[in-house]
Amino acid sequence: MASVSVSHLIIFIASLVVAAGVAGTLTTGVERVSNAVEDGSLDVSQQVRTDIDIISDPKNPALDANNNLTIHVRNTGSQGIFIQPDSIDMVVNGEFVPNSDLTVTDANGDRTTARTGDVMEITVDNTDTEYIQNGDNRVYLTINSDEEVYEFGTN
Amino acid sequence: MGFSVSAATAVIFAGLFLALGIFYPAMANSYERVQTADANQADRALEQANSDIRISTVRTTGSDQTIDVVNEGSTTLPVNKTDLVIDGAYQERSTVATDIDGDDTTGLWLPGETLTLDPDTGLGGVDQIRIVTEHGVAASESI
Repeated sequence: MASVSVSHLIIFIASLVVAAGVAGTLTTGVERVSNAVEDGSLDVSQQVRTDIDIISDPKNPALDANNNLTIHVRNTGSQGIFIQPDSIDMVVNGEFVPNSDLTVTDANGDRTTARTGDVMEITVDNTDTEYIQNGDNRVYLTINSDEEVYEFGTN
Repeated sequence: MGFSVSAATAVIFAGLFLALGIFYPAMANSYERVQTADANQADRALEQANSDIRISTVRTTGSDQTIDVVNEGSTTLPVNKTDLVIDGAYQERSTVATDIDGDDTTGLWLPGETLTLDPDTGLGGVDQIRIVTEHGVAASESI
């Protein structure tokens, strides 16, 4: 009779251990997914809030003697943008411009973040790699998933 | 045996409740965050659609070299966040004097009002100007 109680006790403990394991794994998994969803929603909301506009004149592109291109980008969204090359992905005529060839400054002061209505000045260094070509040019600018195209012609 | 099953079921259900308790706030917060951003974007799109500006007069000669721009939309635009591009060259905001119908202290450019821009560089020999205001609403004029 005692052996029945002992075996019952062992089965009882084993079932509790298994159940606790299942419950623990489940909550850990759900917690991970929840954290990922929170992070994802933060990214998505920032992407939705980011909006930019290129204010440079397509008729008169700002090119200097070495064909270094300067464009001005206005933050028209409600998300701040860090004024640094890391924030910007640029493709000029199908060629990606690395951060080393980009200079980004605040056009109206020396702030480090462009808030709503602020203007950033982006200069593309054309000396090492010739991005700008004669005739039609196309600049494809991406900041935090917001894309803008600036098309202009050189004379 | 019967009690073991009940106890294990109770533990698993407790785990399920806990998981749901963790998951629900995360989902609700995330949804709300994206929803707010979406509403904000819709507001901006509406304001952008309601904004419009027109360059009415450009004076390129004499001592009064200024540009008059009329707010033709139905939204209030910020005076100090209006940008001027002259022949492709961006004019720093500190180098452009502004006034609204003669008042240079106000920062609000109301519908129907005329904003006068007076760039320090002057407008002699200028071919093309471009004015950009809130939401990226722009107007260009060839002279």
